[in-house]
Amino acid sequence: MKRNREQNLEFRAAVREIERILGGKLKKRERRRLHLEITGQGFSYDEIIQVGVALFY
Amino acid sequence: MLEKAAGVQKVMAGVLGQPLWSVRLGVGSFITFDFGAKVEDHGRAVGAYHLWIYMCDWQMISKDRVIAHSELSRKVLEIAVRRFEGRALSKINISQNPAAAVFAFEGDLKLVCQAYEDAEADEELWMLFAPEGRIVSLAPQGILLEKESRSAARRAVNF
Repeated sequence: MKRNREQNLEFRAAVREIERILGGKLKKRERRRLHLEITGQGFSYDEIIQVGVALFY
Repeated sequence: MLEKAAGVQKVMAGVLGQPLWSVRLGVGSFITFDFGAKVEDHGRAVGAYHLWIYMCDWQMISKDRVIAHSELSRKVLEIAVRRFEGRALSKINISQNPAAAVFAFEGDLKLVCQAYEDAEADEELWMLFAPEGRIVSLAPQGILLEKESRSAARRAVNF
């Protein structure tokens, strides 16, 4: 598996986990917001989920 | 069908020629481009047109030569994407079977996007956020034009 592709998939997996926790799909604008919030911050998979919950719960 | 195609074309045409004022490498190989007027989104300035290069295998091509691609190291990509700075989009070509797109920027610089071989049907290659909540996205299953409101009501479960 390619390295950057892996990171892309990890982000997608985090989005899916956030959606499971919230009980509904994130809108594209919400996905964009999540991505903008975490870009350049070096967040782990778990932290991305925590950010998503903090933003959208 | 024709109505949808016309709607997509109208949104895509709107971004052409708009000044690019921000290009950033995001998570993995994601790239975000902000074009046009600055608008506020939850305390953050984004472009009236915001292009998010998402789950796609991409190449940067200058004068018919590949100068960077989505699997280079982050250090290299940070520098490579700066080549887009200050360039407006001049043309966009989209194909749906297979899903792919070519974003042509001023000065003979192109971003060629194609779906990963193992992409899921709904895995967007890119999304273009446009004024009035309109969003165009391309996935292996096809091109989509949506209109999203900012409100979101959702019931939480299991955390």
